[in-house]
Amino acid sequence: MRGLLLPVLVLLIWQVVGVLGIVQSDAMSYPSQIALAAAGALSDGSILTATRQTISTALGGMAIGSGIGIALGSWFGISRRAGRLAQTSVEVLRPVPSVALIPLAMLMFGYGYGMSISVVAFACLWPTLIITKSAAQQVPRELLEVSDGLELNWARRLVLIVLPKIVPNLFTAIRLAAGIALIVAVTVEITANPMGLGYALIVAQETLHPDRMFAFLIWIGTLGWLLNAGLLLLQRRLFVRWDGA
Amino acid sequence: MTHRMRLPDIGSLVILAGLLGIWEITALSGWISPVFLPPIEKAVAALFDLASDGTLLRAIVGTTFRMLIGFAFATLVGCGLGILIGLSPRARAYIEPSLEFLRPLPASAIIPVAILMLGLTKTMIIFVIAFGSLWPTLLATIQGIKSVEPRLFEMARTMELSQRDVIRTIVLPSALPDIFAGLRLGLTVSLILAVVTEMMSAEPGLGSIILQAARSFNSSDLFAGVMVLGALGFVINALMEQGQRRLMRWKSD
Amino acid sequence: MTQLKRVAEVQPVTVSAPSILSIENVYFSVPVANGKLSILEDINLEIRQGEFLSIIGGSGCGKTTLLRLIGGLNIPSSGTITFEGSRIERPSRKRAVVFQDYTKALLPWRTVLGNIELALDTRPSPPDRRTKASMVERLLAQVGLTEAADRFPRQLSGGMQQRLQIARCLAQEPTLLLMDEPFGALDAMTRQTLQDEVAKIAKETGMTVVFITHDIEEAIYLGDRVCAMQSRPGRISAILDIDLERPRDQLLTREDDAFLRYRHELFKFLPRAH
Repeated sequence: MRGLLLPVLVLLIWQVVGVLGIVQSDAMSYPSQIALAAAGALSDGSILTATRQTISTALGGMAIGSGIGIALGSWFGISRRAGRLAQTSVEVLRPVPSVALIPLAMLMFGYGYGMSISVVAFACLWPTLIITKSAAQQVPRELLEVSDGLELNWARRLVLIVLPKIVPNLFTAIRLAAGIALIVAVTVEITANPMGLGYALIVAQETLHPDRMFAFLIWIGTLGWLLNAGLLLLQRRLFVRWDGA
Repeated sequence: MTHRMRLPDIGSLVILAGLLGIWEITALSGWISPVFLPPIEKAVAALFDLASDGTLLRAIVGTTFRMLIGFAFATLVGCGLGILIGLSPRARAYIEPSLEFLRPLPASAIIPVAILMLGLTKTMIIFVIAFGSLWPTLLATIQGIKSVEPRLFEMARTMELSQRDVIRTIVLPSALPDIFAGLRLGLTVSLILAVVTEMMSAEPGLGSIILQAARSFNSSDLFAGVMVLGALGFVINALMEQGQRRLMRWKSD
Repeated sequence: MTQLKRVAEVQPVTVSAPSILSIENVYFSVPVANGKLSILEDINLEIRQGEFLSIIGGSGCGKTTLLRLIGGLNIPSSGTITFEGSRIERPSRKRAVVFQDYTKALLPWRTVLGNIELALDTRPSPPDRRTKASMVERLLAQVGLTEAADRFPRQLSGGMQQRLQIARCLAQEPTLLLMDEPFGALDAMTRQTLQDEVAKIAKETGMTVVFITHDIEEAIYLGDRVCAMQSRPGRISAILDIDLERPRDQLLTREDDAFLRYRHELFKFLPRAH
């Protein structure tokens, strides 16, 4: 478990430096204080509320953004013509950094869930679209011809033939989108939106509570790591059969 | 996934024009209030206005400058450290687990910490940008160095290559595609953090133009700013894409 | 500046040729879950200057390990290997190794030219530009890659990649060329072409070659001596002197009575199917 040595060492040194008061600052805190602050935030419910808000935002935005991304991506992947026609529009819209839309979302929705969810949705849309399109393009022609033979309309073709084939890739796309969703949700909250974990960080900073701030920071990091690890585990479990092992 | 940079197909340009048409009609008809959605000509006019009195140029320069400085720091430190760590399996055993934990952390979460420590200053902004773009660069460099073909090291031993020669002729060229992918990600993060820190600190830049415009319900300026940011993102992406394509020529996977 | 060595006539390998490499009482084992696994036992072998020694054995006989020990990539668990009077402790330019997985032993981002130049540029006293250019030209001609000089390894066929590796090894101006089943992954026709090329290069340069293979006929065809090894643990079962005329011919030599006799002999020492 050599990997644990470094973090433990860092925590130890940090604690010692803090307790001894070597660095005096309003801006610093140390592990024991942070742990206390974390306990405090748990007991007064602030961590739970903020986490709930951030996660709802992330999930909601991801559902919308990835949903649209999967739908469009499958369409553009299966129908070469649609893919070609959409190319320029996608290339023009995709490079816009999602954070650039924060002021617009603020203008349109005011503070609250609408603002965050819309920015998260935009951020999740494009990577999902691209991965889905790429996966759909690789669906073998024969399968599509089968669906023609069965005279399926596009909706049934999508659901019965295309989607099952690309499900492993979809999962990768969703795993990526989940990470992006969390990051963007927190970013929107830090920048402008007064709710969720990002806002909790800002509040702690503005009220000069570095212990609370670091507690929330560590929690955000842990949340992100748990999310990724969890989804990875799930992916491995679900898709072992596909590997043909 | 790489896109081919050939000339856009006429049909797709038509579709884009169609979307713009929908925008124009929606804005003019007032179906979406002009407070949110300006007609295209107003947004373009705002763009020219901002350009004519130099505001736009100053903003672009400001944002780009901060982005690049922070990114330069991150590249130097990230690549340098990455090479050192990547070459030593022992160092990797101790350090990599911690890095993996930090990987999903939102870079923007460091902003309140930085503000607390450094105040709403230019230093804070550069620090945030550098810190945020450090991780993708560092992680990608380590990855690249890690995945050098081991047989090449044996070949180097039989040729009695010096350590410097091994790094120069084998490790660096092999790792370059991975390092570049990391740099590309780092640059994207730099842009995002530059914009966010501008919005929070009112340093002159594209981010603050957009935020100001939103606060004063000036949708034309807002859209003008978003368009410029989109263009900036596009240019950066296109340049990196070209660079990456050239580097990847020899890599078959 | 040294020329690549040329020998005016075929040097017959006689008992009086000096030994340049001695392997004495070498054992090699690796640690495993419950103790040690013995890979090589009681290896004693003298390699004479200018000879072409084939080493043959089934899988698991440790022939690749033996090659790596000679190359200095591994150290014997006990016993010594002496090269030109001093004990081998690490790899050396003078003992060039041609690896079996040739694609992995080439630099994919450099052209054929670039790969050869690597060996020249990193010498203790690198040659100047004009000398380097003529050396490279000669090496390319020697392995038949002159037209492919500007191509990248992945644009080359398997046989050409292996030739490139050989050329790069020759650029080290080695005294000893160690080849680990170099033609195993190639088709029969390419294999035969390369066999003759290697034989020719060995003759032209007077280099000592240790050649590992699992193909009995290849071993006899190329070698001045054939060393047969048995498996698990690896031991030398027999060393045969091959007294066939040089230059060898793919058709005639292989039909020669002596050839067939050697083949019979060696079959006895080797497992049938491997």
